[in-house]
Amino acid sequence: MKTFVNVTDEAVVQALMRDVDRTLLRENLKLTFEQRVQKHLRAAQMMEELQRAGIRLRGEQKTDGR
Amino acid sequence: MAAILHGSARVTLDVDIVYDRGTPNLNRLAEVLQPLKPALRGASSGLPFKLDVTTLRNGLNFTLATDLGDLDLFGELTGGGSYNDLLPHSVDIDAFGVRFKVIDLVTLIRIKEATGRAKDREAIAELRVLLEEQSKH
Repeated sequence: MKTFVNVTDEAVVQALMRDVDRTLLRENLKLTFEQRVQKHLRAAQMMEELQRAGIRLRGEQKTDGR
Repeated sequence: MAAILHGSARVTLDVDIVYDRGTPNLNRLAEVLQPLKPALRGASSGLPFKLDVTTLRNGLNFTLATDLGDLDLFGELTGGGSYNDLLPHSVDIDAFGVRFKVIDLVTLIRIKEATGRAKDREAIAELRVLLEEQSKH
């Protein structure tokens, strides 16, 4: 599938395709639609929690004068 | 969210909806969204905004923050067109007790390619690999 007019973009995407973790995708394809959404929600919640933890940490570092 | 339903492993924090711009649907959309207190994402908090049928009719694409999270409403998508244009390129999905339409994987890739955003390159690469894997599955 080559649809980019921009040759550089196409080359970048082709290169990125080699780095895609196919095992994750194969596992997802075994799941039902609901399971895929639930798995994604858990990942999104973890990401948001990590973001909040990072913000808290930076706030603490500022108060400590670090 | 369409990519997630197709099997993508990438995390996204907003939901994109391409909506039918017919009046009955604009009424339904406004009725469903108003309780979620939609506001224009990134706009100053003092900016008056009410998501009702008139607003939906006068606008086209909206990037919203709601009580349930970020939501983008598209009357038209670059590379995809309107809701009616996309209907033949959608699949019906049954999940959580409802049936809804999701853009098919080939069209999703085409739309992301058409937008030409640098940040979408990784997503496009993953979706193309997903398409290969789906055909083997």
